[in-house]
Amino acid sequence: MRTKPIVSFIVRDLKLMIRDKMFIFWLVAWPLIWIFMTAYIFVPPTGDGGTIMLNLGIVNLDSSQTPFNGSSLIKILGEAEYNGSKLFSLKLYHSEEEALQALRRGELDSVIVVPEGFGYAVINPVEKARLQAYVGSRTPESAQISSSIVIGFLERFSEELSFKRIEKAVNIVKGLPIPEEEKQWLNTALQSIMQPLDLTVEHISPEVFENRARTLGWYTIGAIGMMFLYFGFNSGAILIVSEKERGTLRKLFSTPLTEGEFLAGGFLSQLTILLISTLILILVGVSPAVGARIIIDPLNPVHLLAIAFMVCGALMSMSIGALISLLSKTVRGASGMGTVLGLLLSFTTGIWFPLEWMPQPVRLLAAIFPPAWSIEASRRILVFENIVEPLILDSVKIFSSTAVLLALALLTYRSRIKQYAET
Amino acid sequence: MGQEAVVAQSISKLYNGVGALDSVSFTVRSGEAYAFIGPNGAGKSTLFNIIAGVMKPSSGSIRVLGGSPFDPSTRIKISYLPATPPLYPWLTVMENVDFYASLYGFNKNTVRQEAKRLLETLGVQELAAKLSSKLSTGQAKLASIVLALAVEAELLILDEPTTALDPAMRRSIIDLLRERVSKGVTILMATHIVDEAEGLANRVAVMDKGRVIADGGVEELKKLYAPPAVLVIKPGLEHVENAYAALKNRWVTVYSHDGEVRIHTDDPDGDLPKAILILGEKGIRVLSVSVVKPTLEDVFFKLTGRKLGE
Repeated sequence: MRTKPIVSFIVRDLKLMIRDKMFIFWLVAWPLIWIFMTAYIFVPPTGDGGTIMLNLGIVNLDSSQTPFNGSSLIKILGEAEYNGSKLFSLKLYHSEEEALQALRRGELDSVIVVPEGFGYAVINPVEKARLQAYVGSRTPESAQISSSIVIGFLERFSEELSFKRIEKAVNIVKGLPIPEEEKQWLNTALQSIMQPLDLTVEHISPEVFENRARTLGWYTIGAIGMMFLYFGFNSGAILIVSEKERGTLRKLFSTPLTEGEFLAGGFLSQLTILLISTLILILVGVSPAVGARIIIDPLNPVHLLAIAFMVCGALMSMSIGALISLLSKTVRGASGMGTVLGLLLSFTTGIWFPLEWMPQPVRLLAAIFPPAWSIEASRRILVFENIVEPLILDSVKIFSSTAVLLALALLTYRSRIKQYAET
Repeated sequence: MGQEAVVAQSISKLYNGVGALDSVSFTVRSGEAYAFIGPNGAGKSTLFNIIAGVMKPSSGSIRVLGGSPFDPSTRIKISYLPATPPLYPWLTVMENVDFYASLYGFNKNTVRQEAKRLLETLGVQELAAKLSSKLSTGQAKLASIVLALAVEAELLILDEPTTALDPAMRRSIIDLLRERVSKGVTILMATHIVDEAEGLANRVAVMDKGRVIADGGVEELKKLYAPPAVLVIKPGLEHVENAYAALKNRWVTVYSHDGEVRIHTDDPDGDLPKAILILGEKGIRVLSVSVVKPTLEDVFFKLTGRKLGE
C-alpha cells in the first residue's frame, strides 16, 4: 500500500475541515457549546447550581401586639436563606380566598395563612399556635420541592418554638422545691420529648460530581464522545456515497488507487480530523475559561492506553457509520441518519448524560455499546485517575470490538464500492 | 500507430438483468484518436467505465495497453475524464490537480507545471486558484479537462469532453487533443457532437442501444452509409416542422435538425428545385438553401433512422 495517496486524502479532508463552516460547527463549535453550557449554566463557577426560590403567598390576619407575631414570622420567612440565596419570594394577600386563587392560577408555589391571635398563642404556653399552609406548584416537578421546603421550614419553626417553651418551663421548675436530681431528670425528659430522635443528615454527591473541575472533566470527555458518535457515524456513513454523488468515485478508481488505499485514506483522514477536534476540545476544556480537570501524562503508559481507547472509540464510531451506510443510498439520508443516531446514542449510553440518570432498560444499551466502553474507560483514567479498575479486561473488550467493527466496515465498504461503481 | 492500445472482445454488461452493452468488439491502435458517437443511453459511458477499469463487464474480455484495466499498474497509464466533472468543491482547481496527481504517484510539480501550461493555452489561468464550488458549468468542464490532460498518460478516455463549452473553446480543446495524438497518445472520446469526432478522430464507432453498429474511418463510414450529397434547407424557425412535413414523403431520407431540414440525395441538382417548388406551393418561406457533404450525423440517421440528439 502506497502512503502518498493516503496522505493526499488526509490533506484533502483537512482542507474541507478548515474551509467548510458547517464542518467546523459540528466538529468544534457544537461540542464546545455543550461544554460551556455545562460550565456556566449546569455547573456554574459559583454557588451550587442555583437554589430554588419559591413564590410564597402570605395572608397575615394576626393583629397581636406581642413581641413575636405574624409580622415577625413574615420577616423570618423573607430573610430565610440557603447557601446565600433567598428561599422565598413573598407576596402578601389580604384574604385567604385571594391567595388561594393565585395559588390555583399557578402564580404561587404555596400559601401560608397566619390567623388572628397567632402572636398571643405563640407566647401562651398552654395554647397551640395555629398556622395554615397550602402547598401547590407552578410546575408538576416543583410540587414535591415546594412541599418539602415549606413544610420543612414550618416544622423547624415549630421546633424552635417548642424549645423556647421548654426553656421557660425548665426555668419555672428550677424555682420549685423539688430535689435537684428530679429537676435534672425533668429537664432532660422534657428535652427528649421535644426531640426524641437525634437525626444527622449528610449529603453525599456521586463521585462524578465530587467537585466542579472533575464534573467538567467528565463532561468534556463526554462532549468528545458525543462528537465521535455523530461525526464518526456521519463520516462513516457518507464515505462512499458522497464520492458517488459528487461524481468523483469513478475518477478515483480509474487512477492506480486501490480499494485498500482509498479506505485507508478515507478512514485515516476522518480519524485525523476527529483527533484534532479532540485536542481542541481538551485544550478548551482544561483552559481557565472552563476549568475542567483532565490529566494526560504522555510518560504514563496508562494514560497512553486511555488515548488508545479514545482512538478506538473514534474508529468504532466510523465503523458503525459504515454499517449505517447500508440503510441509505443518498448522502442526505446517510448523513441525517448518522447524526440523529449518534446524538441519540450519546445521550442514552452514558456518554453525555450520566448513566445513573437512565432507566434500567436504557442502561443495558450502554452495556452492549462498545464506543461507550472506550469513552468510559478513558474518562476513568484521564479524569478520575482511576487505574485500579480492570484495565486488562477493558483493553481486551475495547480492542477486540474495534477489530470486529473495523472488519465489518471494510466488508461493507467493499460491497458499497462495487455497487456504486457499477451503477 | 502500431500496437493495439485497446482490444475489446464481445463485451456485454447487464444492469439488474437489463443489457447496457451487447457483445461489443473493437480494436484501437496506439496513437489513434477513436471516437464513439451515439445518442444518450447508447452505452458509451458504460463502455468507458469498463475500459478505465472502474466497472467489470458481465462477459467478454478487455485488454488495455497490453494489460488488464483492473490492474493498478495498467491504470497508471490511463487518464479518464468522466462526463461529470470529478472535482472536489472545497478544493481549488490546482489543488484538485495535486490530489489526483498524488493518486498516480506522479511528481506534483511536473503535473502542476503542465496544468498551468494548459490553463494558459486555454486562456483561463485565473481558474487555477479558484475554488471548484465557484466555477460555472463550462469552467468546471474546462478544469476537469485540464485535470485529465495534466497527467502523463498513454491513453486518454474522454467522456463528452466538450459538452457545455462554447464553440471557440471546443476548437481549442480539439487542438489540444490533436497535439496529444501527435505525441503518440491514444485517445478514446465519446461524443454526440459530430464536428468534434470528424475534427479529431481517425476512426469512429457508431453506437446505438448498447451495440457498435458500424465502425471505420470517417470518410469510409460516409462512403458506406451516407449519400453523395445533402440538401440543407433553412426555413424560418417557425416553419421548420411544416417544411419537414411537406418534404418527408418525397425523399427516402429527410429529417429536421438544428432549425434546418436535411434531405439525403444522389442528385442534388435535380432535387434542389423540386424541394423549393414544393415549399413554395405550401407558402413556406425559405431563408437559405445549400448542398453540403454528408456528416456523421447523416451516417447515424441513415443507420438508425434517428438523430443523435434523440
